[in-house]
Amino acid sequence: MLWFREIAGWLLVVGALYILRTAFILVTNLETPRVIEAAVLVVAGLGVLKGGLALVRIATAARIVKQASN
Amino acid sequence: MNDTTAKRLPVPLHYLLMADVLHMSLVAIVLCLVLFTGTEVPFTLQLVITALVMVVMLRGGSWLVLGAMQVSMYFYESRAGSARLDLPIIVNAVLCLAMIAYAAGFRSIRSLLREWIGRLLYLLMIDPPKPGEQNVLASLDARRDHIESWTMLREQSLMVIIRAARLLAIVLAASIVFLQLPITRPAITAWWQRSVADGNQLWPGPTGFILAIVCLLVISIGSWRRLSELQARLYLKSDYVREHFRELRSVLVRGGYLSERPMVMQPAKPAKTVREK
Repeated sequence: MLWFREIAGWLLVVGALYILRTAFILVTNLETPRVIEAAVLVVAGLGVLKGGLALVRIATAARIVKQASN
Repeated sequence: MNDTTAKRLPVPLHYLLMADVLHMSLVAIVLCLVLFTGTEVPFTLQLVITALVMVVMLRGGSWLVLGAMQVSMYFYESRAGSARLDLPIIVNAVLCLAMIAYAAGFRSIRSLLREWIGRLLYLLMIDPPKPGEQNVLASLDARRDHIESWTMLREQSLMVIIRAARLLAIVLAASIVFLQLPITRPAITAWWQRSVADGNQLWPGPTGFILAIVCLLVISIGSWRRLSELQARLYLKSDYVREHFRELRSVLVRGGYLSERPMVMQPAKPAKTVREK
């Protein structure tokens, strides 16, 4: 279960990085920079990143406690 | 380092204070040099500003160091011109980066250096115990403590060297990264041409930013994996309470353990005054 949480957390992190990359592509396009769309995507990406990191951190902390208990 | 040995062989307080004064004086001199190199600021004002930055850093805030560095570099760059990269500019930039990295890890570096310099001074200033001065057992005990103190000093020296190497590596990495930035006119032109040639995307492009974020995440999670069991338990408990705060509160209210009044800090009651007759 802990591994599942950690894998899910890393998947969310990867997804967040993909969203952020899309936002950067939008904003660094020299021909038609789309700042508003990029801002929306950055907010969404940061939210997903925060959730993913929280899952990874909780899974790591739980594994440390479990290993110490065993 | 063994904690029990450290407790058994403490360095006297006045040596630690002396070490702290030496360390802080050296840092203040470097800071003053970095902040005011080539300026015409009066010496008294330099001392006051340096003292202010040092006081804030001693109280745990590195933000003022960062701000002072930025102000200093702004004026230094505008004076020196950004079109050339000669030795004084590189030395100044490296010292600035080193000072920022030092300020970021100030607390741990300070305690490490205080212990190390204090022990070094202590061992250099005291005379080594000679055999046969007192009774045999006391003499042997003193000699063993002396040898263990030198062993501890060697271990601490190794830690200081590792810390200094880490600081140097951070400064070198930051310098390399900053040198990639287009700060000269030909570099700006090349950067622009490269960006246009690369499908009209500004260099280093989205992939570069994402790689930087990935590096930060790897470092962050790597340090997180070194939690102790106690820290991990505390984090899990606090996270559990934060996530389930409303449910826990409603359970406690229904069970009568808490009153239904909102949890507002009540002002403290005034102290009872002595009743006058």
